[in-house]
Amino acid sequence: MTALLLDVRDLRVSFPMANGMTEAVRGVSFSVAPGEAIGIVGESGSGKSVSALAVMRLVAQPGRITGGEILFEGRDLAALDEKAMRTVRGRHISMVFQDPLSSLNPAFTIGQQLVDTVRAHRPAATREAARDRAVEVLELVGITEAGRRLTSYPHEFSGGMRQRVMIALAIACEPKLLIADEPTTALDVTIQAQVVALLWQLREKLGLSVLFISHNLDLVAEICDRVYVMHTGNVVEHGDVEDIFLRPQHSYTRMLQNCIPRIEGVEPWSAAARSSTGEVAP
Amino acid sequence: MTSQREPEILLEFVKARKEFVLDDGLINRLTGKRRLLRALDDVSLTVRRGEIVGLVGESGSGKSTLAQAAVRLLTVDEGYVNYRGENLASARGGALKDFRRSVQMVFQDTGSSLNPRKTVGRALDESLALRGLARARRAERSNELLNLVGLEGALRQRYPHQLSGGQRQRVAIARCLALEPEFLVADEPVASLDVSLQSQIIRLLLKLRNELGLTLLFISHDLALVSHISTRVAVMHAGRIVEEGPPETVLRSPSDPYTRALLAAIPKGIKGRRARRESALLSASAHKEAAE
Amino acid sequence: MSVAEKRPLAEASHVMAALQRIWQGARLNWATTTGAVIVLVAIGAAIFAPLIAPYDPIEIAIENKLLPPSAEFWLGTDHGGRDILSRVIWGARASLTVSLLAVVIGVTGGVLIGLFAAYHSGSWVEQIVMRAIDAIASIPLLIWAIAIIGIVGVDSVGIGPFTFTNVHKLLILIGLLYMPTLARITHAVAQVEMTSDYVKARRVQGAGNLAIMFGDVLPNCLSPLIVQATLLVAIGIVVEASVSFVGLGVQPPTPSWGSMLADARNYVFSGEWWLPVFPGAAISLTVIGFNLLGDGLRDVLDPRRSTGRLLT
Repeated sequence: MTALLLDVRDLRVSFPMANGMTEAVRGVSFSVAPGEAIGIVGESGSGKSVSALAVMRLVAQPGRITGGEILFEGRDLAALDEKAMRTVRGRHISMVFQDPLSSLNPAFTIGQQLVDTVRAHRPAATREAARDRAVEVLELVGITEAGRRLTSYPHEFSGGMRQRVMIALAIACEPKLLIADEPTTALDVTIQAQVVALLWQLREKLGLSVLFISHNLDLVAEICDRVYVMHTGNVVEHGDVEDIFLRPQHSYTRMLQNCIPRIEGVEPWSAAARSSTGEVAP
Repeated sequence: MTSQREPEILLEFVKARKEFVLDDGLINRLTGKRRLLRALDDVSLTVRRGEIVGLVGESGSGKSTLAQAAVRLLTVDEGYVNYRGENLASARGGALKDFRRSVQMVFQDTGSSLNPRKTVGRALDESLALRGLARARRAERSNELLNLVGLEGALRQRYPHQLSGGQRQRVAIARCLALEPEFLVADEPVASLDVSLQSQIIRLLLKLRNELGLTLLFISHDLALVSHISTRVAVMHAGRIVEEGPPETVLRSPSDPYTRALLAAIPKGIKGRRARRESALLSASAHKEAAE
Repeated sequence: MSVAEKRPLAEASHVMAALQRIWQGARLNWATTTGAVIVLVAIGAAIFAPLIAPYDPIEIAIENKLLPPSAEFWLGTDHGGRDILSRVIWGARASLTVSLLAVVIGVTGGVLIGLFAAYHSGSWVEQIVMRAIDAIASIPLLIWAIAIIGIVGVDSVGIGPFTFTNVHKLLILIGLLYMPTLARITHAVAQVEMTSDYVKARRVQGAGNLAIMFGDVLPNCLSPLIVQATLLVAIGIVVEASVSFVGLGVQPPTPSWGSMLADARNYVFSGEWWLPVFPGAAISLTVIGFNLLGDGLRDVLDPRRSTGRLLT
């Protein structure tokens, strides 16, 4: 058994409300081994995104981590000061968000943003070296004519390309763990498939560990090894993706799975129409 | 032709075209340098009474333009949009009023489809007033409508921001039903909802369709979802309808390459994972062979 | 608790619900409360001036000339021996009449123009209206006011059965000059609201254009308008004071804060500090009061914002 890359134990995150504190994450534990991809599945309000943000120590004020340990390579991130945490973000753990347009600074070219990111974590790197690295990662995420695209602004890219740029930014400093929070939700289905394929390739090429957060169990199953199902701040079920997918134990997991319309099992309409309740075939 | 009488055609697009100017402005106007977006490009589509027509497309495909043209929120540049044989572009006065009662629309964003400053009760009240219902009967009818969409009458006193996304969409549907329409255009009605709520709203729409005899034009980016609930599926791409037919035909033997791409892009869950694994192993062994 | 208060929320009118939100929110925020108190005191002074002012503000009593603040004359007296406190209290009338009524005129006209332009969004009508408004707004309010009153003159004008004193002329003029600002705000917000789904839904339901503009779009434009209106009241006070200061506003012997300041000009360096300080303080305080109230209202008026936010 190899040492775990990330080991989150009994994580608690609370937000102050008008009438006392409300716990958004209620004692959640999950782990990621080196090179492993895990998925956290849940609906809005399940605490999945807050858990991911807690790992980056980016929980939005006034929310805060109220308990638990976040062990990354044996170090407890929950106990680090803000300055030490900044060197962890981007360098060791990086993150891709749902909306690629608002995550990129519209006032700078993507070349500038990539070079700045590289140099922020490697002050020794020359401008040329940083630029070369920028071209390299852009090519890695499948952007053609990367050298020429460095001078483009975010608005000149389509949604799918922007998400590729975001991923390039995230992997520019060779982090060990990539957290992807609903990275495809804002994208079209065909583009989503491309981004998922890209994440899979990066895992294979770079040995990157991935923490993939989504509401879609089918999507998570495509690229993750293990899955945690979250509901109202708790992990209700976790395990190997094949087990969760083929033999879900918890009723909530089964519900999540049944809610996804699939192209298999589409009956000729006459059959479905017979049920006058309008039941949707799972 | 078949001797069997087909149901009456309600909505009909005949070679409809619609263009939008992308960069309007004085200088562009003077120099004639205006880029045009062709949102509807020679679109023909018919919806017959009782059908559930599912329209699939990605962002920018023109599906929302089609939805807005179907409810006459906009008119087309060329071709016709007819409702029960009447050209919508020339409908005025009484004819337009009848059309407004017959055809209603459910919107995608539950956060903005209800006026944030009106309580649920007030919103329903106004719709019932448009239907011509006497003031005294409106409260009772609002309760009935809310019950019909699976909500409690007590919600009448709430503001939209006090409701969940699923509740808001139910209220929006109730507001449509207040006018007792025969045709419902649903533009991505579940895209902004959680998966568990999605199937609830879909079930509700189908239940209402069966109970009230509604005709549905259901618009979505999700081919799998549309295939499950539609009697006929139309696939839209770059302003054109590239494929049309019964769902099982479109899924099993798609004729257009775009439909095939859409099908391939649907997450396959564990099957997709196994396929990726296999291809990864294959390429690894191919590498090995090449190295040897 | 009265019977009216016990009625359920649904029965209460729209205005009641808004007032309730204002009350719940304002209660929690000291800045808004302070602003509201100042504004209420000023308005109270204006309304009840004859009852609370200790002396006649106009009658000259030369024997009491230029007395410093004392137990008899709390804020001292001016060169005519008139009680400064009484004149400040009566001065609130002129200042607030001009500034409040000007805002009422400005909001009414501005909203109508703004909605009209927004309704014709994308057409040449909108272009003409909005460009005309830009042209008017490009010259500062105060310059317009001084220039026009300077041309028209300060004498009362009789039109039919109505007599317009200079105060009336001034408040109508300021009201007209407010319209561009308020029309711009209404136009900008209404344009956004008109593209929202709830407006589309109303159109699909067959609601009339007027019903949509006034029943749906306008209520959603109100928050920024009310905030702007309170700020414009503050500006109106300053404009009235400035115009009166240069002698084109409220005419003597009627007291107004601006004309009191103008009278005090000659005594600033001769030691009679109470002459400029108290009317000046009245202007500043009232302006601050309306500004605080405006800021507070912005947070409270929107039903989408929870009142709990004001706690932090």
